[in-house]
Amino acid sequence: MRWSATENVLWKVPLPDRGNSSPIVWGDRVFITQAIEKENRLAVVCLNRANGRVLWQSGIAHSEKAPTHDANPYGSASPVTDGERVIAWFGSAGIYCYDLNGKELWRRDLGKQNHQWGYAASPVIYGDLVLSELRPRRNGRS
Amino acid sequence: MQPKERTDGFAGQSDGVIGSWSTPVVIKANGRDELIVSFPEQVRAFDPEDGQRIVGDATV
Repeated sequence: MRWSATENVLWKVPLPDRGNSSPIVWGDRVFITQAIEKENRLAVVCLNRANGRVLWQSGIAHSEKAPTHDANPYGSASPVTDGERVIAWFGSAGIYCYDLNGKELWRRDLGKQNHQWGYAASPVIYGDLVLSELRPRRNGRS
Repeated sequence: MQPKERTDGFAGQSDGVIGSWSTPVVIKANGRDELIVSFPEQVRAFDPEDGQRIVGDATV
């Protein structure tokens, strides 16, 4: 099997912006986080696994600038799902939970993230808990 | 079902060490679940239920 930009590619769709997060797959759906800079928007994008069609995009407007590395746009944390809800951490904008249809279920402010290289760690679902590593912060303390 | 809200978190559990950009992982080890978190030059294990540190660092 050989993979390239054109060989053995079942589908390919453009994303709104660049990003460092990983797509995740649950059933027939693919989820990825995106920071859409020209719209000042942080979002989860859900695609149809079979054909890449965008099913929904849910997120928030967030224009407050935070320090980060040029190669680390906002939205670097990958989403996580347990098959009932999708959770995404948007750094200083907080952590957000959506159902599989993109409806926001809850959000929580976890405080400002302030590091010159930004943030990246993805949240983890453990039973009823969501665990997220919030460091590093500028002074190295949590 | 609404997730259980926890505000105690892991605050103060890391002795001021600098964190990382790595995603933690929960593993089964020693007959229990352990939350493995990477820090510069060391990896630490925590009880994922209450954030209490499990002693025994694997310093690189």
